[in-house]
Amino acid sequence: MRRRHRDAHRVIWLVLAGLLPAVVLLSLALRPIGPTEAPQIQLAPPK
Amino acid sequence: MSERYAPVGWNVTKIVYDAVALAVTGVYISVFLWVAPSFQHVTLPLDEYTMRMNAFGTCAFLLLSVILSIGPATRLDPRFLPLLYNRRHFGVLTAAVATTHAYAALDWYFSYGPYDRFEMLLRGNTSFSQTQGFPFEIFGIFSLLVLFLLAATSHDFWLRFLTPPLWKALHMTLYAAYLSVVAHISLGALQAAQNPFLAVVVGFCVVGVAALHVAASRRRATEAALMDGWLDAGPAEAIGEDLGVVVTPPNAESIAVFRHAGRLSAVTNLCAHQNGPLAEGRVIDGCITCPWHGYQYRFEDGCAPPPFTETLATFQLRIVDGRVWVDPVPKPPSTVVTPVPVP
Repeated sequence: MRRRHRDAHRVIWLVLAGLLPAVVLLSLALRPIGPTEAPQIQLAPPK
Repeated sequence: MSERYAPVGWNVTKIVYDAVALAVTGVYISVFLWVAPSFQHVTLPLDEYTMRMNAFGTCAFLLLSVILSIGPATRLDPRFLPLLYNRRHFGVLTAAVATTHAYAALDWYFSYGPYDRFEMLLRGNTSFSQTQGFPFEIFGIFSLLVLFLLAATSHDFWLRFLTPPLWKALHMTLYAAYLSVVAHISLGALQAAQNPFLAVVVGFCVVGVAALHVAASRRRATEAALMDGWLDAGPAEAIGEDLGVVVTPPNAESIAVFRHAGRLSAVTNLCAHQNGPLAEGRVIDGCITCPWHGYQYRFEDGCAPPPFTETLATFQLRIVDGRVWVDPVPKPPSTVVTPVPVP
């Protein structure tokens, strides 16, 4: 693997190692709390 | 001047690889559709269309996580190398599974609006300022477009046409696609998940993939010492028969030193195909063989055996007091350098 490519790779994955879990955790933290409303209408699939 | 488009060079290994990948994907989707209904929320049962969408969606995410793990896994343990051999077909399969997921979503959620379903997909929800109800589809569209682009350019024709550095840079957009997929799941399916199972699976995958990449990138080659303009490659007896060692000059690309039939020879460590690490390969039938895809180069001059035309830069060697020394100045590709006998 080329040295430049390897260095870029290392930096990208150091950033992603923080970013990927942060996205998942943040979205879980922002989830609505409490019961969610049941759907009132169920549409039929296209014929 | 033009490039000729060649079809896939099928061989037994590729056929077995593809058959296993297809079988595993088929089994996963079948088991998902069979097992998932029994884990549903009693008051909010999912219809079969949503189940199908979830089966293909989760399958695409897991396939993408596996694909991204193959590279660092092979650097940490060579036993994973067989997975790397046909990884591009794996990628095309993932693009196909992701497209099926997208088609199922489009057909189910966007077919009943006042506009065309593609128009509905792009204009139906513009709640960009809130987490709940955020148009997470936009992240899925981006990832799917990247997967399409990479699948379309996965053939060796594009690798030669774009050159390995540019092709590899293009295919690194897969990392952005993975981040986008994680955002797509986090703001979509995870917001409505009825149990923590999906969050655990997604968390395990992202932490696992990132940890493998970080661990593999920490294994850096140490730069060899220079003496009178020659690089110290260590004792000759430390190089096993038909094996190679890597020598890294300061601020330059690595060099692979191989031993074959009691003689030593050196070529660049970058395979002409995809810049694979040649030093991690072996000498087979008198040819240095890349561990990634089996590209071969003659021991003496770095030329691929006919009818192949790839060539590698070669390097001058000498042995002094049992230690191997490499001239770090590369010879032009295909220059014959007489192998040095090991005393």
